Amino acid sequence: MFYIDQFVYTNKMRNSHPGERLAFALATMFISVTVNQPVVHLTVVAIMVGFLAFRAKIPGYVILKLFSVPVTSLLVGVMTIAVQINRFETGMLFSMNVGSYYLGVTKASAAVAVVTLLKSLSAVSCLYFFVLTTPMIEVIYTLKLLRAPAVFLDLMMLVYRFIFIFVETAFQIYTSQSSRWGYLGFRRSIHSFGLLFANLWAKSFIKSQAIFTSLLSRGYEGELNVVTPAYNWSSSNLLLFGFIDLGLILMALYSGVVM
Amino acid sequence: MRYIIEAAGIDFAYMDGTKALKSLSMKIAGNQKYAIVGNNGAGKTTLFLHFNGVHQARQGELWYHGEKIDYKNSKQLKNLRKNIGVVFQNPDDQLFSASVYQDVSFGPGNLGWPEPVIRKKIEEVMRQTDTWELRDKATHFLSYGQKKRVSIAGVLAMEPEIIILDEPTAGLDPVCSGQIMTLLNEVQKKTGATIIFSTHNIDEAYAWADYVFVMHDGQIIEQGRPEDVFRKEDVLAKANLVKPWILEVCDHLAMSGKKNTQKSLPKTREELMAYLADIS
Ligand SMILES: Nc1ncnc2c1ncn2[C@@H]1O[C@H](COP(=O)(O)OP(=O)(O)O)[C@@H](O)[C@H]1O
Ligand SMILES: [Mg+2]
Repeated sequence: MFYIDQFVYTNKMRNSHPGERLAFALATMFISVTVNQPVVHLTVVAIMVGFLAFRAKIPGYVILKLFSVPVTSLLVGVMTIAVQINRFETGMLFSMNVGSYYLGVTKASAAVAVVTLLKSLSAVSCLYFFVLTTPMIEVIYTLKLLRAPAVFLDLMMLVYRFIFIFVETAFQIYTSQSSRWGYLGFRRSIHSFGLLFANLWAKSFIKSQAIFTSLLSRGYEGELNVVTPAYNWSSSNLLLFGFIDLGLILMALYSGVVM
Repeated sequence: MRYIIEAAGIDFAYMDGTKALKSLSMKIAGNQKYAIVGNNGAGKTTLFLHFNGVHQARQGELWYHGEKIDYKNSKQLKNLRKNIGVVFQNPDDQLFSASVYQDVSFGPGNLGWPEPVIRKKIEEVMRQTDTWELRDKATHFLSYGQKKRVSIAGVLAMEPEIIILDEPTAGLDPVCSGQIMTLLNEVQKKTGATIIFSTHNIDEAYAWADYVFVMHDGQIIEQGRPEDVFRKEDVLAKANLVKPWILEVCDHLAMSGKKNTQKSLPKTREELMAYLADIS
């Protein structure tokens, strides 16, 4: 997770307004889920992966690894759509006999399964496009533009920062334990892990108190009044995104029925 | 002389009963450079948190510009926290936001300044602390020295009258420490703010401060010009301190009659070299 964060912060599409990427991701996602033509879905995936690899310059192996996660779970999910149970074998492309029933894949169920798979995959690629080109702080900023409640955003901000402090502390404890034989053998490992866990909570508590103290001394009164760097809208990006979405819509209309 | 802060007979104990400050009194004037030296656990951090009203003395009084601090008066407390800025020892305790820029904006944001003014101020202090290049970075990917400078920027952005730094050079390499001390000098010259810093590096305190306090076990046991205070063997022994090496060299030369110490004493390595130049 942490090394992915590093790529997000250094990606090359970061310098324009995050709102334009959110709008593009949402619009494209909307097109993907309303449309049923596999060709549109495949185009969406290709465009998003293309942006990530060639414009954002995120390394290919990171993209591949990230896509392998939803693809495996999608394949399992889609199997349950493709496989049908019926009394008769008629219409099944191939089948298996289970008692008095047949377990098999029909032409129609296979088609639904493929469309569902591609649809989900293209939606996921839109999501990945946004989260991999937009660091968390800017995600929070776009949520603010969308008028999300301030308390929610403040919490998100603190939680995000605390995750890093938490994990860092955990690793420090782990390292200091392992350098004193803490994880040699099963029994010692169990014991050490218990200590790590208990102390992590205590340390996190103290840490949060320290942060609260320092917030107070900078005049904290219950709300995190912060200013974000000024982001510029890029007209060339907006044009490109608009052009792509228009193209996708035309492609959908031209290549068949919209659901 | 008018003082900005006066603490009179402050007593403070933590919840577990640790008496961190014992009837402590001290006075802080404007446009000065102070150092507070003392061992770990002497009570330096606790004292600083009294100065900006985060901790409340159980006994004793705190005065700000001749006005007694009343902890129920939130307007006075807010004013105190704007004008007495504290840079915490551990930058991870201070940087609450994952965005460097946002974190620096937090103080001025609380002061309710208009956004353009805040932005201008942020840029100014970030350039001054050499952190402007880091503005789009995530806090968790910064080095310790960079975090330290960002947390200094976050406090400078509030334009405090007194800037307190809790062990600003602890854990930094000599080059980074030097940069921080130079930065503090520049800030002091430019804004005329009073700077107080705590340290257990006595050489640093000797070289940098106009006036030093020696703290031990919750009390100020000695104060004055560094060249006077750091010559008192009994004070140094009590506070577990060792005489600054430059002062040691000068005094040694005086003892052996090679140099007269009536003239102004060297404070830094370079000044010492110049001071030694005429010895045959
Ligand atoms: N949160 C706390 N709870 C209990 N005791 C504390 C706490 N913080 C500091 N102390 C104690 O108060 C004394 C002064 O600590 P501190 O002000 O941190 O000293 P210094 O900054 O000079 O190292 C020490 O004895 C320390 O153990
Ligand atoms: Mg301390």
